[in-house]
Amino acid sequence: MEEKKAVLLAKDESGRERVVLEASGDAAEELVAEAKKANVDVLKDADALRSFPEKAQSEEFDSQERPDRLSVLAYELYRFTEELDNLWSSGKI
Amino acid sequence: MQSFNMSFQPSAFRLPTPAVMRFPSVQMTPPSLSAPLSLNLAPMLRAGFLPSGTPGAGTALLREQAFSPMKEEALTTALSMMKTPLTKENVALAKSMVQSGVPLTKENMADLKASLSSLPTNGSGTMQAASFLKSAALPLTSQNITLLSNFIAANPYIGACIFEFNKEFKKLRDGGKFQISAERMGILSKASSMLGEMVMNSKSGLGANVKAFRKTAGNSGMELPNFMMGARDEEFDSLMQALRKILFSDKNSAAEAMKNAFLKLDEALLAQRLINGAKREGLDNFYYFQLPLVFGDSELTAEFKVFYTTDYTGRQYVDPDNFEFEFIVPSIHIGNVHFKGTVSSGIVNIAAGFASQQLCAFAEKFMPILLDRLQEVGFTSGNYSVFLSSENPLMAIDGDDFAEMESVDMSF
Repeated sequence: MEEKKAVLLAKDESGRERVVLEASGDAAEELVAEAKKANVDVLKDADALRSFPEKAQSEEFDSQERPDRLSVLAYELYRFTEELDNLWSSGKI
Repeated sequence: MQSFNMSFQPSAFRLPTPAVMRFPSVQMTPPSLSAPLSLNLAPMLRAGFLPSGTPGAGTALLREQAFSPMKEEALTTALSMMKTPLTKENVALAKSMVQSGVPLTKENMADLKASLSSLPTNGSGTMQAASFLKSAALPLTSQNITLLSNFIAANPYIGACIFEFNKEFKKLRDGGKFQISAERMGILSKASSMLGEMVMNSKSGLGANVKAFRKTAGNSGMELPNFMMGARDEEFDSLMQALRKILFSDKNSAAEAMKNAFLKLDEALLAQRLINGAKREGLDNFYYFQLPLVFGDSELTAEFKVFYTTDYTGRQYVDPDNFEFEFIVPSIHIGNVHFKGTVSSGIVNIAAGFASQQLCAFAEKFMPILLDRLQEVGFTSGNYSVFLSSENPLMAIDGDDFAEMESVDMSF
């Protein structure tokens, strides 16, 4: 059986969300239970959260769209290529 | 989310982070005693055996110059020792076995020949596909060999299939020539929009592109739960099943172009699932998939490859802070851009390959901007470089370059 993992986010002074706690196994269960009592959200997939870009963490995404490092990397390289292509074809550079 | 304090000790709960460690591949699988052995070695590694008649023969020793560049003569010698006829086909098959890391034994060769004999043609593509299946311990069926060899020969094209399918579907739907029930039309419509969700488009937001990347990766057999990729998409699978039934049980000649596009797409996805489903030993394993994307007004196909390690449970694992990838992004005016990158302790290093020196010089000026952007989205900015690259597609099936292999005499 796969071990449960949980992470807790908190906002810093600038309003950016940071990971303040990661837990696995029984500790993850305990963390989720305590967080529920305090009425805060806890993300259960710690690895996925660890891979979130910081910028993306501050934006609103549903669970399917929440970025990870691989998809963000691919997206940025694709955008960069498109921009290079446009610059090259415009002859402005 | 609100600010929150809790009396936990984070250090007690840190998750293990396996580091990505890759080494030059070394395959030491003696085909039989006294036969030359195929090896792919980095220059730093020089371990060999003394030939017979040399003092100390029969004992593995370290020495310089034990290896020589691999030549076809090594294959013919091995085949002679195996008492296998030196036909052109046998040499070609032996070569593809060596490149795929399949031990060159009489038994393995007989297995492959038996599987290939049921196919109408035995070109290098089918031999390569069969050798890959053998090395990955996947079923050596005619269907698998054909699926893989077709995929390799036409690679890459998944984007074109999706765009063609959707274009033909809309043409039929809007033209009123498609004789089909409302229920079946509903299934086709749903499938069309589901396939559209796999396409990256820079005009859409980050969220939609993340979703497209994950869906395509998962539907191509990539399984990385820690990136939310690869959970079995039952809705996708059942829609593809329904499409097969609708398109190939109905005699609707108006849908021929759509049928062809679907057939190619279905086969490409199945081939990628086969490739990505291979559980192979070694340190150079990777997931590979094709990624449809919109580029300006054109619809193209990118290729993505990420190297994985195997975690302590035996599951494929990519550490978000330590991984290596390749990404070929097609374009309209500057050709394919071949990105090769590493992320090491969160620091990203990128090399970008272009088809000419002129393009390299042009792009090099903008590479710092790319790294700044990656820094903005959570990576630590590392080094960049540009290089002259060929227009070759990524290799979906990894095989060693025969010209770069080395051989050693293992006779005692």
